[in-house]
Amino acid sequence: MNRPDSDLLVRLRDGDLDAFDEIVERFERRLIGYFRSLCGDPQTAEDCAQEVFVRLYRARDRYSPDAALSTFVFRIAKNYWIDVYRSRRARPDETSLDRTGAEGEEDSMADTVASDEPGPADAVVGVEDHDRLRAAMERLPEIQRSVLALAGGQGLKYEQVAEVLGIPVGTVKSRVHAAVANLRRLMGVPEEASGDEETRRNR
Amino acid sequence: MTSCAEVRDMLVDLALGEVDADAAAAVAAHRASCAACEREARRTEALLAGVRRLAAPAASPSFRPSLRRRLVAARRAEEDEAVRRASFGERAAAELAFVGHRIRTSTGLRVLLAVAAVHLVGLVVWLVLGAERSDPAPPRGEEVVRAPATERAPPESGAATPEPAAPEEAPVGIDDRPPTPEEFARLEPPLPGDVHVEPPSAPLPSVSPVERAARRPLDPWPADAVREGKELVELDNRRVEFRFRLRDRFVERPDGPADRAVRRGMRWLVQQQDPDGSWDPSPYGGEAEARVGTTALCTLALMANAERGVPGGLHRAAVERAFDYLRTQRLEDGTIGAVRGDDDVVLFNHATATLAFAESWALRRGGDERLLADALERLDDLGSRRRFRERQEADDITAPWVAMALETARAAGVPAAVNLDRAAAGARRFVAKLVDVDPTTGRLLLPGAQLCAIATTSALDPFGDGALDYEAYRPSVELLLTHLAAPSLREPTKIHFAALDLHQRGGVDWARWDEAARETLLGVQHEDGSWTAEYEWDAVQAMGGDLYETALTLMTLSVPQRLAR
Repeated sequence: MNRPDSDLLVRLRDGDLDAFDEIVERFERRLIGYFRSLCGDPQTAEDCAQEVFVRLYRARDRYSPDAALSTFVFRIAKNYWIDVYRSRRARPDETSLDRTGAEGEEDSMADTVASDEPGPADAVVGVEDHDRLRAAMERLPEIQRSVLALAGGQGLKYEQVAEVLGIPVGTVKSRVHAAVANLRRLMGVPEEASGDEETRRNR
Repeated sequence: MTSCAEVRDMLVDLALGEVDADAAAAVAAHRASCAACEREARRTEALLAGVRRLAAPAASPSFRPSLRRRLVAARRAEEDEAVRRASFGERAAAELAFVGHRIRTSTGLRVLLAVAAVHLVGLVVWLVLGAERSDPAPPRGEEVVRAPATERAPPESGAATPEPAAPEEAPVGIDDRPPTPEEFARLEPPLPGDVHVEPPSAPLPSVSPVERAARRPLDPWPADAVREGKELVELDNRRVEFRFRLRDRFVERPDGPADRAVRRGMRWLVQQQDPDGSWDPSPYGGEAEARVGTTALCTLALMANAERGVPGGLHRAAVERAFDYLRTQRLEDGTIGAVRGDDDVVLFNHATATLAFAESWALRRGGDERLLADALERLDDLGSRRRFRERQEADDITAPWVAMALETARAAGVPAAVNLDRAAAGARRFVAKLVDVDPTTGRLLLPGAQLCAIATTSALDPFGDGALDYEAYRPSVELLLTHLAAPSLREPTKIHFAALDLHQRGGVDWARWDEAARETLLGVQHEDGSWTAEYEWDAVQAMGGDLYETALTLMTLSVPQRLAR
């Protein structure tokens, strides 16, 4: 397996502090982005990222080259997130997408997030859609948001995500698929009828 | 041939690079002949591309500098720990060498050693037989703390050797090892007039859980303030322990930077004390009428240093002189420090003095009962007659102390004729009125002066009716940090109550605050140990300028050591 990053932490473990600067350089934005996807707040995300770097520094002696550096880093990040936010109240948006509001309210949460404008059916998600996409991400259930943040956002392989989160690979895959499906509904991206279905209809 | 359903099922995995080459080729072939699946694939890829772009936002300009500070602190902590371990190892080695020498040269010691060996064998036998412990573990949820004795026998009293103290859970950042006599001696030498308190030669007496409970009557927690059953136990214990974790170890480490700063500050305070035990604010631009209140706050700041269970520690004499002065300022109606013509100063003087006596009562488990009972009744009277007037800024500086004094007395179980539950709740409600909330968004409106009220309300009752939920409170944390960093906004009362509240909340907010507060406050301390009041608000200047600033800053820095969480 190709692990170019692993040398950095080995060097840090052996006392090379320049290696730590490189680690910060490589993971700064990724960690901030990861925490941003979890908590939604940029300042909190930066604070969490800083804390992970400090913990990484303190844990440098425990790093084993058998693990990919990104897996090691995000495992620390995941554990920190759990430690700090375990006692937080459930985020008000951590509910089923299909749960309707109070009696008398017609709209489901999905309807609330999706705008009346057509979604980015064929276009790349534009700058103006970033806010909607971020809002949609924040409304995913946390178990879906966390796997999507790691697999989709940070580019970790399913195996790495499974290792970071301590869940089976199959569970990672199913949660990623569910997260993407929910995101599409939240963003108002319709599902194209399949060619098989069109063929059946035209018969 | 691959069906649309099969292809659709693979699109997410394909976009994430989780599909092998053969499957990818099959999907590509299908897409070339199926426009619908081609569109689906592009939408999936676009969505995931958007997720990737969200995943790496640029850091703010302050990210790297802040991280650097944290890393420096982490490295310093590692070095300090290494020094401590090395020092302990050296001392242990020296002790062992000494004991070995004495055993070799002393017949008596050899006999003693033999007796000890016999006792050790007996202990092993006892353990093997599974004898039950005679001292049951304290009830679940009750922290094992050492309750202060009402009267501590001096080392030379000849009293029988007391039982070892119960182990105390070390608060965050505190070295739970008591300072050795050598470390004690290395502290700055006493000032003229100081009474140097020798550490007791024997451990302090312990208090059994039953006796501790008897001394600490717990009022039933109001049912409507309880959210969940388990919170009752946690809240109850925390409230009672809120102010009165035994402060028998002030030092974080004997030479920690915060320790040095606070010791310097305390020395400066003691140097400013007048012979009658008071602190006069007028040389620092304050109003002479606020002398009682300024004295009370300086006393509270010194009481944070309570080495070996003695309030004031090295500065015990200064604390005693201060209380002697405060007692002389008591009027027949129970008011402490009444002055003519200024209700704000009257309330400030009386509330802070009452708080000082209440804390002293709690630490010593007694003393000045009559004075305190009258003072609490008077405080309730003065406070309840005070009407909330919008934008009366002085409320921000007096109301928190009123609430704090009543709450402290209530939590400690101070005997009082007035209903302290009601009085404390009323004070908190008054403070809560100082908080404005946007009716449309539910978010806080945060004029700077009201931050003090927010912090106070939350500090005294983080789960109560006046408290704020986390989402509403977050903006205030950010603003408090901004105010901490700006001299013209760094009002010391607000900063102190912010520290109180954030310490109670803990977590990342407290970590951020603690780091920022230490860096900022230690950075602006003068060489002589004092802090300068840079906040321009007249009320702060009236309460004693640099005296007020120094006393409050000391209280702020010592929050983790003074208070249980």
